Amino acid sequence: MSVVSFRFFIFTAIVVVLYYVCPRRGRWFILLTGSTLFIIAGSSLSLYLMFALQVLLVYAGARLLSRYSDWAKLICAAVIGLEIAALIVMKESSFFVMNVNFLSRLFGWSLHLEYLSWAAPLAMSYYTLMLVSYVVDVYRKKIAADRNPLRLLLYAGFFPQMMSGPITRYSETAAALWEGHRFDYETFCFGLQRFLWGLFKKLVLSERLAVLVDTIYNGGLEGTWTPTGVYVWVGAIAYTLQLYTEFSGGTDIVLGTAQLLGIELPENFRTPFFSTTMAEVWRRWHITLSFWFRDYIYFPLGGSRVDARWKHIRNLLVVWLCTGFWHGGNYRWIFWGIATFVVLAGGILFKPLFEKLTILLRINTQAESWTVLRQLRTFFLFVIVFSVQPAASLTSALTMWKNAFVFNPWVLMDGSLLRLGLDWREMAILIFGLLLLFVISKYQQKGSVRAMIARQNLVCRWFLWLALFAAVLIFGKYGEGYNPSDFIYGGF
Amino acid sequence: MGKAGKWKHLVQAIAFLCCLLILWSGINSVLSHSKDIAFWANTYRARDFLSLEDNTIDVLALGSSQTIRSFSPMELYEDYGISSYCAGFEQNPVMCSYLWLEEAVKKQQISVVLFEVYELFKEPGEAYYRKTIDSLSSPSAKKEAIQLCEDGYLQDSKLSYMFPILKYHSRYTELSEFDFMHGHTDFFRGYVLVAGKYLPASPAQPLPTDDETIAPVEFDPLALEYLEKIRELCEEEGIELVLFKSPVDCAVEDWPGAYKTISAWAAQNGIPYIDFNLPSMVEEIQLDYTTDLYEFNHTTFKGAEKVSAYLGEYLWEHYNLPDRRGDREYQDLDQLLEAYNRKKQNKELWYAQNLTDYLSEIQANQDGYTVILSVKDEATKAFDAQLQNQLCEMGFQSQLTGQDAYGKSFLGIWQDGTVVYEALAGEGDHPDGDALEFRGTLPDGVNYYVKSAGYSAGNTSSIVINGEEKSVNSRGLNIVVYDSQFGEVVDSVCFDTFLDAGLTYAR
Repeated sequence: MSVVSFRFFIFTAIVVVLYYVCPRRGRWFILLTGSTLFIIAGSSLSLYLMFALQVLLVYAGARLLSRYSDWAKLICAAVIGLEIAALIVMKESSFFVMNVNFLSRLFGWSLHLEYLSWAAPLAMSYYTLMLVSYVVDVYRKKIAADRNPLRLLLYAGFFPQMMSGPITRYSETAAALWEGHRFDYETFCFGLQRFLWGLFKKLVLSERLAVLVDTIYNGGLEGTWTPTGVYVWVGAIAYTLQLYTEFSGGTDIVLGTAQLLGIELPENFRTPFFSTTMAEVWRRWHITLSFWFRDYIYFPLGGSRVDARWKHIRNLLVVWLCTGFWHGGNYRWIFWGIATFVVLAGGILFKPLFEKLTILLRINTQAESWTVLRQLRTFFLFVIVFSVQPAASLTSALTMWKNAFVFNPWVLMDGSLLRLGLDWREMAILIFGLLLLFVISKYQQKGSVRAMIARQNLVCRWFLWLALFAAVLIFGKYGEGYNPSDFIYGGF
Repeated sequence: MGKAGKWKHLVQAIAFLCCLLILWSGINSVLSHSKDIAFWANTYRARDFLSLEDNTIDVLALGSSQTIRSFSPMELYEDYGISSYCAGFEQNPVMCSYLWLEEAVKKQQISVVLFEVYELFKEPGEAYYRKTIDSLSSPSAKKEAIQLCEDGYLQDSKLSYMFPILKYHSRYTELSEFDFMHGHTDFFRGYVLVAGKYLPASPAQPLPTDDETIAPVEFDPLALEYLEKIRELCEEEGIELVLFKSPVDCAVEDWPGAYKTISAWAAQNGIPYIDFNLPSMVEEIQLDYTTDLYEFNHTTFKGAEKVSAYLGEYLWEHYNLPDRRGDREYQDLDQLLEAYNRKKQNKELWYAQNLTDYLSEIQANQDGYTVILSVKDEATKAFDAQLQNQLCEMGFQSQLTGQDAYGKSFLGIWQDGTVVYEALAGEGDHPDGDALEFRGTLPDGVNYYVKSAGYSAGNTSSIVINGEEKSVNSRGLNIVVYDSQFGEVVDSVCFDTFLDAGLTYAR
């Protein structure tokens, strides 16, 4: 069930109504039942049972390691091992099969493995990390092992998160999900507003960007054209913006839904394209994922507080290989992970040199223009790193980049960009929408936009929200004749 | 938060929701229907039909484009004072005719339903179902649509029938004035006037009733099901049902087999059936296929006059229908009738066979008309004395016969029977080889611009009215006729008076 589907809207409305109608003590039951039905509807009963089994394993493991502290490390390792193994087997087995078969052919072995074709439980990549974080936090004695398995079940399976996160910590959300919340008008309104803003980003912006990306990366409207020069850059930038609007839009819908129930989930995006370094990007993009890898892999390895630079670099490499692998068991994502690592490592290694250069060249690093330059540099590095993803293969992505420096700037002026699947109206809506997004994001550097709007007079507030509603209703890509692209981060 | 605060929030929430629903409804009503064109006036018909005052229709004509072209309510009102309405869309499925009837009986006390039977043998595409379902937008229409979705007749999602905005929201790229129009000058109680001519390669034919080899054609099952529903609803509401078939060219339209089927069904069910394709009917109404049809299966306003006259007489003789003329409640029909007759008068220009007839027609109806003349290239070689006399009778002084005017620019403005301006190159202040221009304002305040350039002066004709080019811009005498009452160009034609004395023309 996609978060931009009519069914999801009806489902959420029913859950919200039942939640507030139900006495406060019993509201967890509404959430748990709703989440259970959501997962079953989105996958199957058997896959739900598998999910429940994983939760039960973690529940039991956490209780045991709390009780038997001598065995805590072993139990923790075993639970983590089983959870990760389940994730790898269910989701990434194809990668191993592919590599084993390749090696077998290469060395002339007689071994040939068959690909396993089974479905994984909904959002397995997300809830597995959440469960691992829970058991590790219990092991580290940050939190006590929960005696209530249903609370753990609700924490791991809260329905809005079951599409694309965020990856929450037990200490952040478990209690909030369990205790019933009073209806708060302002929070409820904020939730609706955020939901609407998320719909705008996904249905108005992301779907239009997807048309450009699809055309450029799939060889034009008839599949026979090779993009060069400006087209390559337009395609790569469009993909990055598509990814951002879709993922952050989906997150807005998820967080907005949770807010309707009075539950605050952690932010997953903080205007990442205003970052001045790649490291900063990953503190502002898919925040919950990068913080998870930081807290449960990077820091345990020593992070940056190690006695040798090479160990620091090694730790980064491990994190980014794991991150790439988490995104997808294929070489494109691994390449992406390595590329991100290279940029980050480059930033660390060349930092002293860059600092010397800025002094030598008397660059005023406090100047706004310098900040903007760094933001643009970071943005383009991010674009390049992510640009392999929409390509059919790593090879075709690299081929595209070989053509990226063909000189054809006239493409920007001669109407060529209006032959990529979006006519002038659609392009105008997209550009206007992106400008609006930019302005909103710029304001978000200073504070909450919703709070700012809430301070305005009633007519102004209502005008803005009704205008946004009309924009989604008219310009959104949905309904008959549309096949909205699946959420890129929805398959994990 | 106190109780007062809670009440404030509740009131705010309800008020906001109301604003949201109004906005949704507004967007829905503009976007949510198939693209309309003036030719069929679907948008306007649905709005007009739904806003009719209660109990003002005595006769309802249902069907598809055949109905809205062949049945003219104004003819019935003019001849007998019968108040009627023509309800349907092009390729309107029978199911949709049933929906129109269902909607009509909620607010109207209808005495007779005239049902045009063409669609009983057709399987219109889903888009045609949607025209009615989305335009009427009633709960019963949606319910029928959902049932047809479940039965597999309709492929669009049930949700899109409940909320048409899901299907039509992207129509913002196609919006035109017809999505917003609240008036339509060719529209008269559901009927839309069309002029034209039908010129088939082989002569048009009526029904070949003596051909026994023609087998009856099966009804479309779904259409038959809804015909039965129409019949039952008429029975329940005490409405008389009359079936009819508008004129078609039976040499092209495969009607004979269908005729056998529907006439048998009508006889079996005791329902009158009038088929205008029977040779006897063609003779009785004096159907002229050339002027009474504009294509093989649709009538012009001339054809509609004849069909409606017959139906009016039939209804008057067989059913006790009230004469609404003089009734204060129906006063608006008198004004509408006046406009209708003027419209017909405007459309008559279309049938002028030559320039002489054309100018005669113009002279016969002067009030409220502006006629603009502009020569392109050469218009005098065949301009004979008779034409010149007509021009003079209209008040023009310029001499277009003879060598002096050869290849010269000429323009003239004739308004409400008076010459407002005329100019001929080589006369007065206008040098011989010059193009001529004039700017003016029409009686309704619309600006216009005229240019005439003879062969050596630029070789062009331009008649721009309210910013739009209206001249045919062909060799000869280009004429644009503007009706200030309706605020529209009635006709734009060019008579090639270089080639002949106004027998050759182009539009």
